[in-house]
Amino acid sequence: MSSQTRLNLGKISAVLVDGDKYVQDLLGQMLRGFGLEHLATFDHGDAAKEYITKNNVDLCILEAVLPDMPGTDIVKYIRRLENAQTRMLPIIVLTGYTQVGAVERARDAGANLVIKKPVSPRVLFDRLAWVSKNQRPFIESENYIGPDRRFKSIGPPGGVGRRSTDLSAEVGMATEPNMSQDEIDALIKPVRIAT
Amino acid sequence: MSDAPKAKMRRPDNRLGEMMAEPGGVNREDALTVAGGSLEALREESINGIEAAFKEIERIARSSLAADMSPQDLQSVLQLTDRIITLAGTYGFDLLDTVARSLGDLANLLMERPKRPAGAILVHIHAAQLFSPRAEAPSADEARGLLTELRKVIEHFDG
Repeated sequence: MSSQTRLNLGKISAVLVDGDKYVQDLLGQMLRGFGLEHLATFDHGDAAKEYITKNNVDLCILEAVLPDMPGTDIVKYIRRLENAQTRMLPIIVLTGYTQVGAVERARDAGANLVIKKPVSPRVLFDRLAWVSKNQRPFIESENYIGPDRRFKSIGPPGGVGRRSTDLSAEVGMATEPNMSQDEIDALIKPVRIAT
Repeated sequence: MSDAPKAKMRRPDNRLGEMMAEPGGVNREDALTVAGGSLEALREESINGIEAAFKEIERIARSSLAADMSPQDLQSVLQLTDRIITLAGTYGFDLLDTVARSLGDLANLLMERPKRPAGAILVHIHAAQLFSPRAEAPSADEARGLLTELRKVIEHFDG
Protein backbone atom coordinates (compact mmCIF):
# COMPACT_ATOMS: atom_id res chain seq x y z
CA MET A 1 0.00 0.00 0.00
CA SER A 2 1.33 3.44 -0.92
CA SER A 3 2.52 5.77 1.84
CA GLN A 4 0.24 8.36 0.26
CA THR A 5 -2.91 6.22 0.66
CA ARG A 6 -5.33 8.59 2.36
CA LEU A 7 -8.22 7.72 4.67
CA ASN A 8 -10.66 10.16 6.20
CA LEU A 9 -12.01 8.73 9.45
CA GLY A 10 -13.22 12.10 10.72
CA LYS A 11 -16.93 11.36 10.24
CA ILE A 12 -16.80 7.64 10.97
CA SER A 13 -18.61 6.41 14.04
CA ALA A 14 -16.90 3.26 15.26
CA VAL A 15 -17.34 0.79 18.08
CA LEU A 16 -14.42 -1.06 19.69
CA VAL A 17 -15.16 -4.00 21.98
CA ASP A 18 -12.32 -5.69 23.89
CA GLY A 19 -12.48 -7.09 27.40
CA ASP A 20 -8.83 -6.34 28.11
CA LYS A 21 -8.37 -2.73 29.17
CA TYR A 22 -4.71 -2.62 28.10
CA VAL A 23 -5.37 -3.98 24.62
CA GLN A 24 -8.45 -1.76 24.26
CA ASP A 25 -6.29 1.28 25.08
CA LEU A 26 -3.68 0.28 22.49
CA LEU A 27 -6.23 -0.18 19.72
CA GLY A 28 -8.13 2.98 20.69
CA GLN A 29 -4.93 5.04 20.55
CA MET A 30 -4.05 3.65 17.13
CA LEU A 31 -7.51 4.45 15.75
CA ARG A 32 -7.48 7.96 17.20
CA GLY A 33 -4.02 8.39 15.69
CA PHE A 34 -5.59 7.65 12.29
CA GLY A 35 -7.99 10.56 12.86
CA LEU A 36 -11.00 8.63 14.20
CA GLU A 37 -12.93 11.06 16.38
CA HIS A 38 -16.11 9.14 17.20
CA LEU A 39 -15.07 5.96 18.96
CA ALA A 40 -17.24 4.20 21.53
CA THR A 41 -15.34 1.59 23.55
CA PHE A 42 -16.81 -1.32 25.50
CA ASP A 43 -15.37 -4.18 27.50
CA HIS A 44 -18.57 -6.26 27.59
CA GLY A 45 -20.70 -7.55 24.75
CA ASP A 46 -24.12 -6.68 26.19
CA ALA A 47 -23.38 -2.95 26.46
CA ALA A 48 -21.91 -2.97 22.96
CA LYS A 49 -25.00 -4.67 21.50
CA GLU A 50 -27.29 -2.10 23.09
CA TYR A 51 -25.18 0.80 21.77
CA ILE A 52 -25.01 -0.62 18.25
CA THR A 53 -28.79 -1.14 18.20
CA LYS A 54 -29.56 2.43 19.28
CA ASN A 55 -26.92 4.37 17.34
CA ASN A 56 -25.70 4.80 13.78
CA VAL A 57 -22.44 2.90 13.67
CA ASP A 58 -20.22 2.71 10.56
CA LEU A 59 -17.60 0.23 11.72
CA CYS A 60 -17.33 -2.37 14.46
CA ILE A 61 -14.04 -3.83 15.70
CA LEU A 62 -14.31 -6.53 18.32
CA GLU A 63 -12.31 -9.17 20.10
CA ALA A 64 -13.24 -12.81 19.50
CA VAL A 65 -13.47 -13.62 23.22
CA LEU A 66 -15.27 -11.22 25.58
CA PRO A 67 -15.87 -11.56 29.32
CA ASP A 68 -19.62 -12.14 28.94
CA MET A 69 -19.95 -13.79 25.52
CA PRO A 70 -17.99 -14.88 22.44
CA GLY A 71 -17.44 -11.98 20.04
CA THR A 72 -19.15 -14.06 17.38
CA ASP A 73 -22.44 -13.67 19.32
CA ILE A 74 -22.27 -9.92 18.65
CA VAL A 75 -21.51 -10.55 14.98
CA LYS A 76 -24.54 -12.85 14.67
CA TYR A 77 -26.70 -10.36 16.61
CA ILE A 78 -25.75 -7.50 14.28
CA ARG A 79 -26.32 -9.64 11.18
CA ARG A 80 -29.91 -10.31 12.30
CA LEU A 81 -30.94 -6.74 13.17
CA GLU A 82 -33.99 -5.20 11.45
CA ASN A 83 -32.16 -2.04 10.39
CA ALA A 84 -30.51 -2.98 7.08
CA GLN A 85 -27.73 -0.40 7.35
CA THR A 86 -26.64 -1.71 10.75
CA ARG A 87 -27.15 -5.32 9.69
CA MET A 88 -24.61 -4.88 6.87
CA LEU A 89 -22.15 -2.94 9.00
CA PRO A 90 -18.48 -3.80 8.33
CA ILE A 91 -17.18 -5.92 11.22
CA ILE A 92 -13.55 -6.70 11.97
CA VAL A 93 -12.86 -9.46 14.50
CA LEU A 94 -9.54 -9.60 16.35
CA THR A 95 -8.27 -12.98 17.50
CA GLY A 96 -5.53 -13.86 19.94
CA TYR A 97 -2.75 -16.42 19.43
CA THR A 98 -4.29 -18.87 21.89
CA GLN A 99 -7.80 -18.83 20.40
CA VAL A 100 -7.92 -22.06 18.45
CA GLY A 101 -10.49 -22.06 15.62
CA ALA A 102 -11.47 -18.42 16.21
CA VAL A 103 -10.76 -17.35 12.63
CA GLU A 104 -13.19 -19.87 11.14
CA ARG A 105 -15.85 -19.14 13.77
CA ALA A 106 -15.64 -15.38 13.12
CA ARG A 107 -15.81 -15.85 9.37
CA ASP A 108 -18.78 -18.17 9.63
CA ALA A 109 -20.58 -15.78 12.00
CA GLY A 110 -20.47 -13.09 9.28
CA ALA A 111 -17.37 -10.98 10.00
CA ASN A 112 -15.94 -8.99 7.10
CA LEU A 113 -12.35 -9.50 8.18
CA VAL A 114 -10.40 -11.34 10.87
CA ILE A 115 -7.08 -9.98 12.13
CA LYS A 116 -4.68 -11.90 14.36
CA LYS A 117 -3.24 -9.97 17.26
CA PRO A 118 -0.80 -8.38 17.93
CA VAL A 119 -1.97 -5.68 15.54
CA SER A 120 0.57 -3.10 14.46
CA PRO A 121 -0.54 0.37 13.28
CA ARG A 122 0.53 -0.59 9.76
CA VAL A 123 -1.60 -3.73 9.72
CA LEU A 124 -4.62 -1.96 11.19
CA PHE A 125 -4.41 0.96 8.74
CA ASP A 126 -4.01 -1.33 5.73
CA ARG A 127 -6.88 -3.59 6.80
CA LEU A 128 -9.16 -0.60 7.34
CA ALA A 129 -8.29 0.62 3.86
CA TRP A 130 -9.01 -2.86 2.48
CA VAL A 131 -12.39 -3.14 4.23
CA SER A 132 -13.43 0.30 3.02
CA LYS A 133 -12.49 -0.41 -0.60
CA ASN A 134 -13.60 -4.02 -0.94
CA GLN A 135 -17.33 -4.12 -0.44
CA ARG A 136 -18.35 -7.71 -1.02
CA PRO A 137 -21.89 -8.82 -1.89
CA PHE A 138 -23.98 -9.44 1.21
CA ILE A 139 -25.56 -12.88 1.60
CA GLU A 140 -28.73 -13.53 3.57
CA SER A 141 -29.67 -17.18 3.90
CA GLU A 142 -31.16 -19.45 6.52
CA ASN A 143 -27.75 -20.52 7.82
CA TYR A 144 -25.55 -17.55 7.10
CA ILE A 145 -25.90 -13.77 7.02
CA GLY A 146 -22.86 -11.71 6.14
CA PRO A 147 -20.44 -10.76 3.39
CA ASP A 148 -19.84 -13.32 0.67
CA ARG A 149 -17.17 -15.68 2.01
CA ARG A 150 -16.01 -16.69 -1.44
CA PHE A 151 -12.92 -14.86 -2.61
CA LYS A 152 -11.56 -14.86 -6.15
CA SER A 153 -7.95 -15.93 -6.31
CA ILE A 154 -6.33 -13.32 -8.49
CA GLY A 155 -2.70 -13.93 -7.59
CA PRO A 156 -0.39 -11.62 -5.69
CA PRO A 157 -0.86 -7.82 -5.81
CA GLY A 158 0.69 -6.31 -8.89
CA GLY A 159 1.22 -9.77 -10.33
CA VAL A 160 4.56 -10.12 -8.57
CA GLY A 161 4.95 -12.87 -5.97
CA ARG A 162 7.37 -12.89 -3.07
CA ARG A 163 8.43 -16.48 -3.60
CA SER A 164 9.80 -18.05 -6.73
CA THR A 165 6.91 -20.55 -6.65
CA ASP A 166 4.15 -17.87 -6.52
CA LEU A 167 1.88 -17.82 -9.52
CA SER A 168 1.59 -14.66 -11.55
CA ALA A 169 -1.70 -12.74 -11.56
CA GLU A 170 -2.61 -14.28 -14.92
CA VAL A 171 -2.03 -18.01 -14.85
CA GLY A 172 -3.24 -18.63 -18.39
CA MET A 173 -4.38 -21.85 -20.04
CA ALA A 174 -2.86 -25.25 -19.32
CA THR A 175 -0.03 -26.08 -21.71
CA GLU A 176 0.19 -29.80 -20.94
CA PRO A 177 -2.47 -32.53 -20.67
CA ASN A 178 -3.85 -33.24 -17.19
CA MET A 179 -2.07 -35.94 -15.17
CA SER A 180 -3.77 -39.30 -14.92
CA GLN A 181 -5.01 -40.54 -11.53
CA ASP A 182 -2.19 -43.14 -11.53
CA GLU A 183 0.38 -40.40 -11.98
CA ILE A 184 -1.13 -38.37 -9.14
CA ASP A 185 -1.25 -41.46 -6.88
CA ALA A 186 2.39 -42.18 -7.64
CA LEU A 187 3.34 -38.65 -6.59
CA ILE A 188 1.72 -38.87 -3.15
CA LYS A 189 2.46 -42.55 -2.42
CA PRO A 190 4.93 -42.98 0.50
CA VAL A 191 8.21 -44.41 -0.71
CA ARG A 192 10.78 -46.17 1.46
CA ILE A 193 14.18 -44.60 0.97
CA ALA A 194 17.17 -46.93 1.26
CA THR A 195 19.80 -45.66 3.69
CA MET B 1 -39.40 -28.17 -6.97
CA SER B 2 -36.00 -27.70 -5.34
CA ASP B 3 -35.62 -27.98 -1.57
CA ALA B 4 -32.39 -25.98 -1.62
CA PRO B 5 -32.38 -23.20 0.99
CA LYS B 6 -33.14 -19.77 -0.46
CA ALA B 7 -30.40 -17.17 -0.25
CA LYS B 8 -30.58 -13.49 -1.14
CA MET B 9 -27.57 -11.62 -2.41
CA ARG B 10 -27.47 -7.85 -2.04
CA ARG B 11 -24.97 -5.21 -3.02
CA PRO B 12 -25.07 -2.78 -0.10
CA ASP B 13 -24.00 0.86 -0.41
CA ASN B 14 -20.38 1.23 0.59
CA ARG B 15 -21.09 3.91 3.17
CA LEU B 16 -17.83 3.34 5.03
CA GLY B 17 -15.78 3.51 1.83
CA GLU B 18 -17.53 6.70 0.68
CA MET B 19 -16.93 8.43 4.02
CA MET B 20 -13.30 7.33 4.18
CA ALA B 21 -12.70 8.55 0.64
CA GLU B 22 -13.96 12.08 1.37
CA PRO B 23 -11.40 14.87 0.94
CA GLY B 24 -9.19 15.49 3.94
CA GLY B 25 -8.11 12.82 6.35
CA VAL B 26 -4.57 11.58 6.80
CA ASN B 27 -2.17 9.79 4.52
CA ARG B 28 -0.75 6.44 5.55
CA GLU B 29 2.70 7.71 6.44
CA ASP B 30 1.40 10.46 8.75
CA ALA B 31 -1.22 8.15 10.28
CA LEU B 32 1.42 5.54 11.14
CA THR B 33 3.72 8.18 12.62
CA VAL B 34 0.98 9.57 14.87
CA ALA B 35 -0.28 6.11 15.88
CA GLY B 36 3.29 4.98 16.62
CA GLY B 37 3.80 8.01 18.87
CA SER B 38 0.54 7.24 20.70
CA LEU B 39 1.70 3.68 21.31
CA GLU B 40 4.99 4.89 22.75
CA ALA B 41 3.02 7.03 25.20
CA LEU B 42 1.35 3.81 26.41
CA ARG B 43 4.57 1.78 26.76
CA GLU B 44 4.91 2.05 30.55
CA GLU B 45 1.23 1.38 31.14
CA SER B 46 1.45 -1.63 28.83
CA ILE B 47 4.41 -3.02 30.78
CA ASN B 48 2.28 -2.61 33.92
CA GLY B 49 -0.36 -4.66 32.10
CA ILE B 50 2.17 -7.40 31.33
CA GLU B 51 3.31 -7.57 34.95
CA ALA B 52 -0.28 -7.58 36.21
CA ALA B 53 -0.94 -10.56 33.92
CA PHE B 54 2.13 -12.39 35.33
CA LYS B 55 0.84 -11.90 38.87
CA GLU B 56 -2.70 -12.98 38.06
CA ILE B 57 -1.58 -16.13 36.20
CA GLU B 58 0.70 -17.02 39.11
CA ARG B 59 -2.15 -16.48 41.57
CA ILE B 60 -4.49 -18.71 39.52
CA ALA B 61 -1.87 -21.48 39.22
CA ARG B 62 -0.89 -21.35 42.91
CA SER B 63 -4.53 -21.62 43.95
CA SER B 64 -4.74 -24.93 42.00
CA LEU B 65 -1.48 -26.51 43.16
CA ALA B 66 -3.25 -28.96 45.44
CA ALA B 67 -5.55 -30.19 42.66
CA ASP B 68 -5.80 -29.99 38.89
CA MET B 69 -6.60 -26.68 37.21
CA SER B 70 -10.19 -26.25 36.11
CA PRO B 71 -11.07 -25.41 32.47
CA GLN B 72 -12.28 -22.00 33.73
CA ASP B 73 -8.90 -21.33 35.34
CA LEU B 74 -7.12 -22.33 32.13
CA GLN B 75 -9.45 -20.10 30.12
CA SER B 76 -8.44 -17.18 32.35
CA VAL B 77 -4.78 -18.10 31.85
CA LEU B 78 -5.32 -18.13 28.07
CA GLN B 79 -6.92 -14.68 28.09
CA LEU B 80 -4.12 -13.20 30.20
CA THR B 81 -1.55 -14.92 27.99
CA ASP B 82 -3.13 -13.32 24.94
CA ARG B 83 -2.69 -9.96 26.62
CA ILE B 84 1.01 -10.66 27.20
CA ILE B 85 1.47 -11.81 23.58
CA THR B 86 -0.34 -8.76 22.22
CA LEU B 87 1.59 -6.26 24.32
CA ALA B 88 4.94 -8.04 23.89
CA GLY B 89 4.39 -8.24 20.12
CA THR B 90 3.40 -4.59 19.90
CA TYR B 91 6.51 -3.37 21.69
CA GLY B 92 8.96 -5.90 20.28
CA PHE B 93 9.73 -7.90 23.44
CA ASP B 94 10.61 -10.92 21.32
CA LEU B 95 11.82 -13.39 23.97
CA LEU B 96 8.84 -12.66 26.19
CA ASP B 97 6.61 -13.14 23.15
CA THR B 98 8.19 -16.58 22.54
CA VAL B 99 7.73 -17.69 26.15
CA ALA B 100 4.16 -16.38 26.26
CA ARG B 101 3.28 -18.30 23.08
CA SER B 102 4.74 -21.41 24.70
CA LEU B 103 2.55 -20.76 27.75
CA GLY B 104 -0.48 -20.40 25.47
CA ASP B 105 0.36 -23.67 23.70
CA LEU B 106 0.70 -25.38 27.07
CA ALA B 107 -2.60 -24.06 28.41
CA ASN B 108 -4.38 -25.20 25.23
CA LEU B 109 -2.78 -28.66 25.53
CA LEU B 110 -3.82 -28.94 29.19
CA MET B 111 -7.38 -28.02 28.23
CA GLU B 112 -7.62 -31.29 26.32
CA ARG B 113 -6.13 -33.42 29.11
CA PRO B 114 -7.92 -35.12 32.00
CA LYS B 115 -5.02 -34.08 34.29
CA ARG B 116 -4.12 -30.40 34.31
CA PRO B 117 -1.21 -29.84 36.73
CA ALA B 118 -0.68 -26.21 37.72
CA GLY B 119 3.07 -26.78 38.16
CA ALA B 120 3.70 -26.67 34.41
CA ILE B 121 1.95 -23.30 34.18
CA LEU B 122 3.97 -22.02 37.14
CA VAL B 123 7.25 -23.04 35.48
CA HIS B 124 6.26 -21.11 32.36
CA ILE B 125 5.13 -17.98 34.15
CA HIS B 126 8.33 -17.90 36.21
CA ALA B 127 10.32 -18.14 32.99
CA ALA B 128 8.21 -15.37 31.45
CA GLN B 129 8.96 -13.13 34.42
CA LEU B 130 12.68 -13.52 33.71
CA PHE B 131 12.02 -11.99 30.28
CA SER B 132 9.94 -9.14 31.66
CA PRO B 133 10.84 -5.76 30.13
CA ARG B 134 11.71 -4.53 33.63
CA ALA B 135 13.86 -7.54 34.55
CA GLU B 136 17.58 -7.74 33.93
CA ALA B 137 17.86 -9.38 30.52
CA PRO B 138 19.26 -12.94 30.64
CA SER B 139 22.31 -13.70 28.53
CA ALA B 140 21.80 -15.35 25.14
CA ASP B 141 22.97 -18.70 26.57
CA GLU B 142 20.62 -18.45 29.56
CA ALA B 143 17.73 -17.54 27.27
CA ARG B 144 18.46 -20.46 24.94
CA GLY B 145 18.66 -22.84 27.91
CA LEU B 146 15.36 -21.63 29.34
CA LEU B 147 13.54 -21.91 26.03
CA THR B 148 14.88 -25.46 25.57
CA GLU B 149 13.57 -26.46 29.00
CA LEU B 150 10.15 -24.95 28.23
CA ARG B 151 10.01 -26.89 24.97
CA LYS B 152 10.60 -30.09 26.95
CA VAL B 153 7.60 -29.27 29.15
CA ILE B 154 5.43 -28.79 26.06
CA GLU B 155 6.72 -32.04 24.51
CA HIS B 156 5.88 -33.88 27.72
CA PHE B 157 2.21 -32.90 27.39
CA ASP B 158 2.11 -33.08 23.60
CA GLY B 159 3.22 -36.72 23.46
